[in-house]
Amino acid sequence: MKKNFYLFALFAVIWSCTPTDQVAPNTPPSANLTVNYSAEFLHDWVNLECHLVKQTPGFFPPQAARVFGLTGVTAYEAAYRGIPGARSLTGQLNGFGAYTMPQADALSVKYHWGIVTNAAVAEIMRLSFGNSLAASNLEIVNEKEATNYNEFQKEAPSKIVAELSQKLGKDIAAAVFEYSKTDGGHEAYLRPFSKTYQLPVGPDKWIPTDAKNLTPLCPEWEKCRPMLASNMNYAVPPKPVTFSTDPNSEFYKISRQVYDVVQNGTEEQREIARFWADDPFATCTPTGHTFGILTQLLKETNATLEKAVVAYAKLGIAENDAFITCWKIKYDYDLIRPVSYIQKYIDPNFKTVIGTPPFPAYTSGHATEAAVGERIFIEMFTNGDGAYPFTDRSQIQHGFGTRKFSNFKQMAEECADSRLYGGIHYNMDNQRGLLMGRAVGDNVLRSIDWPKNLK
Amino acid sequence: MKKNWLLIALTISFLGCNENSVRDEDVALMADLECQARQLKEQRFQVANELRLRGDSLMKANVALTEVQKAEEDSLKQILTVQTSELATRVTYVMDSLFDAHYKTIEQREAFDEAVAKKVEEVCK
Repeated sequence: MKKNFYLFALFAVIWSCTPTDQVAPNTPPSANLTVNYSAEFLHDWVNLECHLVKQTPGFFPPQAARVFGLTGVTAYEAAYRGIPGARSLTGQLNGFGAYTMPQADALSVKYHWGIVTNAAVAEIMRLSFGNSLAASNLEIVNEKEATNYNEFQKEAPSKIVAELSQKLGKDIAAAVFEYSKTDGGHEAYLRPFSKTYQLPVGPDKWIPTDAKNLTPLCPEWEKCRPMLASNMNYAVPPKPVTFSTDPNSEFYKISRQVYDVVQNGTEEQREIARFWADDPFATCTPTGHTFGILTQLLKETNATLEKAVVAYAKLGIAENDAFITCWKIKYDYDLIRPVSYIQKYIDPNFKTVIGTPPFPAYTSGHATEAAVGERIFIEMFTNGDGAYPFTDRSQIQHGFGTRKFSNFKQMAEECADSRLYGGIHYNMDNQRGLLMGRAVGDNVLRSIDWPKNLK
Repeated sequence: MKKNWLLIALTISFLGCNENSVRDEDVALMADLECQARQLKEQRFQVANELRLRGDSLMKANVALTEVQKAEEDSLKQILTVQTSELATRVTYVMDSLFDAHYKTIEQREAFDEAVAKKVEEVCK
């Protein structure tokens, strides 16, 4: 009897010492949680992606949003198995079937999530920049992958586990790349300007704004598959203000506003226009700017790999879809740019503060993508009110100073306003772009079963 | 006399412990890099404006850019893009390293930003 009692007591002690996450379903062993990994190497990869976007021909804003999106999805797929309660994005993203993903058993193989993520991100970058990646940049990608692997494999339980982790990462990247091949944007960097697109003709229609690009950028981008199909419904704005050349009309007034703001703009407004321009000439596009801010926020809050992969996936999906929805609206209306209207009907000598990009006005891509950032950042870094004093240092590298904001809404609104200050957009393009971006961002947060309580 | 020494020592130790103090060598290093980045940015915008003005004139005259002119533009942009990208990598690396080593809190970083901005105004004419 006494013996049985001791045996029972022994079992009770063992049972109580077993971490609950090892017995609960869908929960990985506590010793191998993504939360225990640093995100520093992933931040470095995102910085490198910015460098690649700058240096690889054909990566204009839509193409850049797409590759950042693919990187976000890939990093999440690589590390979600180590996040309690997290689900794969397969079955949750448009056309991303579970059958495409490699199988992995995180309960019997103690994968090193750093190695998996490192291999996955390196591979998706090699694949998504394709043959356009310069040899020197390919070398940088390969070296970074190898350096990280050599560091991480010391922490892996065995050489075999390190190799299995590496293989899983590469297989995940290959699966995401296969998914991306059918989204309509595959290798679009090879043909950013369609030569066959028939420009609609009319007084309200877009006409070329620079001598080099006589055809508009990515007119077929609207046909790309959004990662969330419902984003195309949530983000549809009303029709633009009716075109008119009558000086008493609403359209003339909104054009006149652009003219007045540019003619009477302050030095600070001109600097704001240039700060947010993020033109593909030498920066890594608006999406790269917003990813840069996210990286800074994750670093400042000491986020682990767990929070980082979720944040990059949320922003990446939202940015990808923001550009598709925005481009659809742009080519639904093909609205004339302010510079073309003003030079024709107000002042033939009008000059904008910065160059007008080669595609229609309505709505603003900058406003749409910045609002996506606003919604994702509010959800990830505040208790919902959006208040978060921060300094944007992401453009120091490009020769700008810092800009301070007290909340994320202010950040997005300044980005939107910058297009008015620059003479690039009518104010309606910016305000409705903000609404579109917020709708896309909210939909990404709402429609996917994201893990909670991240560190 | 002893009391004064104690006061001085206390003041020095207080200043030394000031969490928001910035190191002059860090400020000088970052200001130099930021100045280079700023000059390169001005050069980029100047080139972009010149190309834009030339394009505007051609468009007004209904003349298309020749293939040679397009190639020249691309080459000019490529040179500036590579320079900008390489400098950007250095700036980011140095800033991240300094932040990791000496400026870990938001307050320290803001104090550092301010000191660098002041220095840039001084040295970057």
